[in-house]
Amino acid sequence: MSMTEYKAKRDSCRQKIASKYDILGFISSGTYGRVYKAKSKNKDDGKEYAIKKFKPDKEGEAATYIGISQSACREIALCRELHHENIVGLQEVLLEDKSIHMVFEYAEHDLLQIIGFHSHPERKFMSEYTIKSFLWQLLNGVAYLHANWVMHRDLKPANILVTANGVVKVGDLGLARLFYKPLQPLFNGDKVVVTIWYRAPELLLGSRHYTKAIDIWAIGCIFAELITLRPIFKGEEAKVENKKTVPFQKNQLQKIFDILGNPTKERWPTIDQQPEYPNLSSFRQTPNILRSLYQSWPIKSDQGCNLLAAMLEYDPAKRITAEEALNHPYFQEDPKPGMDSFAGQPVEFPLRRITNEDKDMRATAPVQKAHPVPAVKDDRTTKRPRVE
Amino acid sequence: MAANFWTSSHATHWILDRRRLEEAMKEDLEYVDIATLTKIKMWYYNIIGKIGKRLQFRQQVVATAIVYFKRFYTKNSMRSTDPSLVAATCIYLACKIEECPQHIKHIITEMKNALANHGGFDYDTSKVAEFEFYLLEELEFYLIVYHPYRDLTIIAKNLKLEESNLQTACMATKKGVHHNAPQIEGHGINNRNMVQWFADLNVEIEEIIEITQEILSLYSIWKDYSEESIPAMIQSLKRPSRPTTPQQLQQQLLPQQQQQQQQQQQ
Repeated sequence: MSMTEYKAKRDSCRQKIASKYDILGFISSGTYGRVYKAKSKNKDDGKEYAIKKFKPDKEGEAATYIGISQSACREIALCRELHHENIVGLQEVLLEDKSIHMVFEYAEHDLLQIIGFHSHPERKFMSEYTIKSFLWQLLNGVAYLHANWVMHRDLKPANILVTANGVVKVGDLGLARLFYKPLQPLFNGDKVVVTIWYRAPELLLGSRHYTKAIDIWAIGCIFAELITLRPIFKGEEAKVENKKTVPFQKNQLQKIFDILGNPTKERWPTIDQQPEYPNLSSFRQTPNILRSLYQSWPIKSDQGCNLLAAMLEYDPAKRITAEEALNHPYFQEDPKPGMDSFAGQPVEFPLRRITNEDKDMRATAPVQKAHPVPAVKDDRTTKRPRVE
Repeated sequence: MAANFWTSSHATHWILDRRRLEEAMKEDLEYVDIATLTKIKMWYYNIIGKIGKRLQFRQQVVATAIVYFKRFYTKNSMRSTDPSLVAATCIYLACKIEECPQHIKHIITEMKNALANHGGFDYDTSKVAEFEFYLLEELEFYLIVYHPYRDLTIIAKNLKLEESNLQTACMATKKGVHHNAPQIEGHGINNRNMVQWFADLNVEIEEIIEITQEILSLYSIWKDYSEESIPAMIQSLKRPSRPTTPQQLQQQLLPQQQQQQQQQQQ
């Protein structure tokens, strides 16, 4: 029998996005779809939102619609359950135009944009207070994820949002998943996780059963990048030639070894169980220079260096956990972290740029003027590798 | 959430009261009785289970699909929808959420096989994919479901229960209405002083009794469940609506009579 009647009934009571939100403009696009800035039409709310519109998952030349993507599924399922100050909040999910629209709380900035702003036109370092507040809040959000058995698996500056009030919001849970007693090895689900520069050594060595420690490695990389404004391990990604095999990321590992020295059985007792272990003999021997490198950086705290080293620990079993990191002595010493990472800072960040160029969801309200920003071409946004 | 059932959407949004469940069945119960309706639902749960077996899913995937199916029918009548399309879509979505995605075509093929002698399955990829939207909406986008299997194993260990007791408890939760793990445990445990154990559980004894009764009545319906009788039951559930009272009949005929009268007058 037909479901026409049922569908008609449901379709008729579905609220239009345009009846609830004013679209202010287009923010960005990616493999998943497009993001728009919007404002609630509700006078009592009046808050700003980011609406993520997913591209329908299509397949084959005829482009048959095959349902919502795994990534959208994960993000909806997890965001619907997670409620935390440092995790981007999901307001609601709407269906329209055969697409899923996730309505998130709006965040004016992200760490990629903030790092970029500090690097151009000339490099001006962030204050230690701001770095420490970003780091603490990021760890706070990730500790909450891990306590709830959620692994993020794609932590990188672009995915760490910051509100106009300096509050960190971990975003983009499209690769995140539950890891409580998985029905099959995590590797079977997604062959490649985490953007290459932030990818943990156990992943680069082909580990089948990785843990939440991969998120901590990425946070260590982000911590270093907040200090120096440059990615700490900026390797070249070996291209995936066919979908079945994952290439060995020799260049990325070399970048890590250049700073942390070669991993040994002493530092990482189970390293010989990693599938790519035999490949390690081809690397030149290098010493661990992390501490001396850190001395040349603008932050002088020894505890800061200890924390960084603990997050960039080779052995995932010995790597510090998010919960432990939150209690690290580095956060006890001055300047102490705060919930407004921008407090007392003279720097005024440019607002997120939005445009009116998108033809899909046309702006229904005039585009607001952003602060004047020098039109620097930021290669970081265009060339930065992404996890597909 | 995962760390704490009581803060999950399952606990905060999807523990429904009896009145709401009864409301959802109202329309169907005008056509069949409660035992028949329960049997029809069981039949669809079994279809989901069969497909899970054919595609070698873990039990958890089947259980999630069944919970989606049940949640859908706490808001809709079986009569006004097609449970076979709902079931297929529930399986497809559950696979994705439980991180073992299946190609939509495999599910459709298995659905066609399972329903070959029961009216068939006339939906293609695009129809199932389209219906996924409706299903998501009915589920209010709450997709993470808790199953008591883990708790059952832990409690069984604590009570030194045998495998067969655990099996019974698992079956009971699969067929049962509630998903509140510790409360269902009581079933299948005999010859033991359970007073202290129940006291430690910190659940109302009234609730345990209610659930036990629920399970017992389910068993009595289950006792004379036979697959062969289901098609006829579905037919009577789906039979065209017809006026039930003479008054309604009168009302329906009234416009016609008026028309006839008008024609006669002309």
